[in-house]
Amino acid sequence: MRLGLATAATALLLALAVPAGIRARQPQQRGGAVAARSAQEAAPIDLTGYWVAYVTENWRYRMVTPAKGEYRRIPSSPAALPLINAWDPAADERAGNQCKSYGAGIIMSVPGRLHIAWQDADTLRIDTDAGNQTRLLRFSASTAATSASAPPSWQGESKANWERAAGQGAGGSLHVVTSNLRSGYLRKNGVPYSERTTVTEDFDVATLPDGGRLLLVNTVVEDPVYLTGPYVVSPHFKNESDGSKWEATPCSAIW
Amino acid sequence: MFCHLVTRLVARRVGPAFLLIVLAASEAWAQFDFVGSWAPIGTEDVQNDSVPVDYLGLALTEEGRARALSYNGSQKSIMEHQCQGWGAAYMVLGPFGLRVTSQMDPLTKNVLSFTIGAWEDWNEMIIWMDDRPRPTEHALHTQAGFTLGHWEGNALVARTTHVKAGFIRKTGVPLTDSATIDWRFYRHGDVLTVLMVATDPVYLVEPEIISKSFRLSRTPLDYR
Repeated sequence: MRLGLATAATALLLALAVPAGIRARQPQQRGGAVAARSAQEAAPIDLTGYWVAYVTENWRYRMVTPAKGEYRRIPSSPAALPLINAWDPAADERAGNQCKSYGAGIIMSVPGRLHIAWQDADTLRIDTDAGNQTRLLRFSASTAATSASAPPSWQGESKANWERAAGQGAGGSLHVVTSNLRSGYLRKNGVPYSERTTVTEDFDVATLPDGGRLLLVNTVVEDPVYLTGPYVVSPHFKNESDGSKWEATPCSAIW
Repeated sequence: MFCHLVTRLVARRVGPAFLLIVLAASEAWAQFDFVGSWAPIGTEDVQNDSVPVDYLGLALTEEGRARALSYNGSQKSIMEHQCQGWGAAYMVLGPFGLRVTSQMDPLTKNVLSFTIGAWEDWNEMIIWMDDRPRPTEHALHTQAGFTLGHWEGNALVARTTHVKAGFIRKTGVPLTDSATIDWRFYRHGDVLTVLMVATDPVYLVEPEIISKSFRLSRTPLDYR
């Protein structure tokens, strides 16, 4: 009886302590606990498949090309205003810069479809039909390009890691930080971001009441040059069963 | 002999305890700290900037559209509507931040509920976390409705029912009292993202899905 009580008391104390410890460790778990396995094997959520943008926020800024000078809701800095007011889509086309509004700072907000698939065990690939862009989200330093020496690009260099929720099979999120970007536009009408921009994204998957799946991409764009503060948006996508509605279109300076 | 005794003692005492620990650990709550003041960020337009008679992007039924077109903003100034306020969906549609508190069971210290504090024209919302039964279909409907929540992976998941007929946009796009609203709250660092899925069998062809982000405020929000 004494042994039983002692066992129960020990179990109770430790059981109360352990979950708290697990919870407390959560922020530090960014991929560390699953380093031995590939990112694909360790994935706590499945992001692969076809997804279509479900545009309910910033509709008037995403679905049509806003008027020149319309930068409402973007915390543009004074340094950005001359560029905003000088926006010339024809000049962008002539200069071969028609993809400026398809860079990593905005691409997830561009109406269209995504195809997400594993390029290899440690690289998640996102293709967009709007603008034919490809993002490579690299989980492993060994698969990362030599980002320090690589020239800036529309989609930059993306470092990814899983953030696992505590508990067996509890799911999690994908955390992505992107830098080394070419300067681009946060809005189709030329609201700029600079090459010093960092884009931080968290991908979550939710189940809808009808059983469908929704991809939510919380996006924080930080630019010390053309923004006075973070630009935060959370575009979301509905899952599609296949790619039959995929409609590849090249970059365009205006809609 | 001594080793054998120790082994048996350890097995009897620690074994069951270890088993319980493992079970408890595998059921660790995937929770984040929801309590605090969450300030609006304002970089997303979730209402088409409240342009009247502009329902772009909304999947309205014909009835919903007709009802929305008949809306007149001045009706809020009629005496019987002055205290009407706005329904649960206004949590993400409105311009305010969220003040979240929790209420605990005094004995178990488990969270019984989260309360998202009211602001001037929005009633507080209580998210019950104690698995209490949902009221019957004919129970009182209120502006805030009745909300049950639970943790699911890294998200706080909740469903609101028993709402009064109200609006899903400030420009008069209606919701009936049959509407249900599903919520998911995600936290990444200091950013809280609220996903709202509003379903209305009368006025919406398909659910209206809105997501909106808030940033943790270092100072308490005060909307008295």
